[in-house]
Amino acid sequence: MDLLKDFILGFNFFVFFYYILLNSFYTLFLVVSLFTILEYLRYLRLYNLQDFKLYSEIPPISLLIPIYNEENVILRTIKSALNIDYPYFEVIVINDGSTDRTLELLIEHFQLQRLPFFVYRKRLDTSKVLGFYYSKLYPNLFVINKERKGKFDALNCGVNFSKYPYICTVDADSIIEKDALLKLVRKLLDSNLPVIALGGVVRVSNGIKFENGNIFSIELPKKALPIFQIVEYIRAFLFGRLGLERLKGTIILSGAFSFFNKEALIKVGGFKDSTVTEDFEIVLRLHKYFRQKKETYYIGFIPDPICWTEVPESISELSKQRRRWHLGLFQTLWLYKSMLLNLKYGRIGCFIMPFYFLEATGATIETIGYPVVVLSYFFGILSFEYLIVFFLLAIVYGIFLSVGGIFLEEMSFRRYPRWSHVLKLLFFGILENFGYRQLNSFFRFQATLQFLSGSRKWELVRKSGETN
Amino acid sequence: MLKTLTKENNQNAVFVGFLSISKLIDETHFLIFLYILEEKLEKNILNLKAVSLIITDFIDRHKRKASLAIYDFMKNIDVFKPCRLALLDGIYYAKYFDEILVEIAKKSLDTDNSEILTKALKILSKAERIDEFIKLEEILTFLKHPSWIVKLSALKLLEKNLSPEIADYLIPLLEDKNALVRKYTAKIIFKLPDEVVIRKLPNLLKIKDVYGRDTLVEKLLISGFWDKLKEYSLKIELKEDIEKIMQFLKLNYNMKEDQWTY
Repeated sequence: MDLLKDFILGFNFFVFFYYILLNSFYTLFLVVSLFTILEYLRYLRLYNLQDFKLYSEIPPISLLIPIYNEENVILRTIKSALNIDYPYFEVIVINDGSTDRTLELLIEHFQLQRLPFFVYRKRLDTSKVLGFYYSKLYPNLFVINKERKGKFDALNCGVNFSKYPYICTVDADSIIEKDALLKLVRKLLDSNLPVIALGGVVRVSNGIKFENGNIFSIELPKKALPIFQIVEYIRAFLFGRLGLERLKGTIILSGAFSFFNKEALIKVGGFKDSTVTEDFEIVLRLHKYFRQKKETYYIGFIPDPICWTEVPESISELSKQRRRWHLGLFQTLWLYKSMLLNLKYGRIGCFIMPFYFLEATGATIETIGYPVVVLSYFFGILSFEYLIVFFLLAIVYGIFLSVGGIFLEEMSFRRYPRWSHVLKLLFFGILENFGYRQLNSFFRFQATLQFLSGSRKWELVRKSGETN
Repeated sequence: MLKTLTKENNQNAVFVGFLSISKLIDETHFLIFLYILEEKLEKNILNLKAVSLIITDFIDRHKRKASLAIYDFMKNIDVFKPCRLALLDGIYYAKYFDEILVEIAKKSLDTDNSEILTKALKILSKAERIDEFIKLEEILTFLKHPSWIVKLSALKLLEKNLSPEIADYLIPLLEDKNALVRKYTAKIIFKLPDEVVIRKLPNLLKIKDVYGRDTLVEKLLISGFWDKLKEYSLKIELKEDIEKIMQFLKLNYNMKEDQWTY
């Protein structure tokens, strides 16, 4: 009995230590992000984006939009892509064997014309291409119809068809802001190092009103679940990724909106299906490749190009999405375990990957930790003081981080301009620590079990497509 | 009013001030207006785009008088590069266009700066008949410029003055490392007289650069020239060239026999 008590006590201290360590990382990111944002805002004041357009040597970009059964959202996405404020770009939509009316809708709406035969340089291996279409209305819009093999394959197919040296991947339910490409490319031209990949901010589009592919008005969604995710996205991008960027440790770029040097992508073999999160895997592979080759490179995150994406509105869809993300995190870390704590990979292997490893295992600690700590108190194993400190670390610090994220947003980009929005976000920032966060930990815990059982299932998330 | 504007340092006030003064001033003050505009740009009170917008408004409002003033302004003083760029951009977007503006653009071609060259070539491409202002040989030299954007602008200018003899000058551009240059070159090729294109195509398709070839084939299909080829295949004098093209496409692009019916 004493042994069990000691074990439980030991576990409680382990949980305590875990929260201290994780919160230390978060505090570091928050502080670093605060300085980075201030610095970035100063930089933006000196930079006029429209002037930048006057200097014409900005590179052409291929925008890749992989789609699978997206008849509800695809027209809106393509219209917004065609509306982008950028001098030279092409939009390549890759239909990955949709079984609904997606392709028919595109043919009808954009007056697509099928080529009798097509030019296809297979630099990356892909499934069979069935047809190639060009639009009679938009000379820079192309649609590829191919056999289904998954998002990674559709992206590779797009890379093969693309003509330009840089590619930008956009999800079928995502809308990139008009000036997002200009903002990304600004970094490309400013950087002293060869830019291999860049990521921008992903924001929640639920509640946003669009007109002709452009944002008409920014409103908060009516349902609670998307609002929780807005707070989460703000926190994740504005201080999580920005903090990591400042520490030169960007290893995740959101699949909804990433930018790559095409030749670098081809060098490493393109996107792969070795994990369920091809966006995370490719970035880590690029890091590994360039560090092994000892070539200088830059992979980074920029806080002002914005892409709006739809988030799940039901618990079941959210659970699928979070399980997939977390399973992908585990799979990728496992795949690149040789980089972990390996000095050869510098700060990526010795600092950033251990942090993500801590986050990955955190779901299990959190899911088991909460009931164990509470029960330990009720059974008299832990003191009341410990219980209070635990809740301060787990809940109150969580509130502090959420509020910190919203504060960063308000002092920088202010995409939610009304005070009523800010107050509502703050309220949800507090509320998310009482249930929503724990629920997410549980989904991630499920993914941990999936990983341990060897599952590779890609759970398809259905979006409402109601944002208009 | 111009004096007040000289002292003002607020970006918005200066921008609105220039637009308002532009409505009121007469031609005797045009040069001072341009000097102050340059000064504001130099001091970073106005940005390039703002200067460009003011110039566009200035030209559309005062037409020929504004053209002459800009011509004198650019001739008399050593205008610093960003201002020259903004002026040319403003000229490009103006609805009004005359031979003085063409002359300004022509004079701006005498530089190595790719941005200035690009803007100047873009202005020239606004002219209805460019052969009156610039010789074909002059444009062709820009096709060899190291900057892709200059090559692209020269191609757009060339599009206005298409003649069969330019086909040979376009071949190296099909092998350019920049995809946009390749794409635009292919586009221009298919705008040449149909028979010239058919006679040249077998040779053009022999270029070593696969991306150049791909661009050419893709443009052949997208431009609608593919259907024309079918029609021309009935002409005996072109039949041999068309056969060669078909053989090439079958061999290199998996074209099937049923996709080509005479």
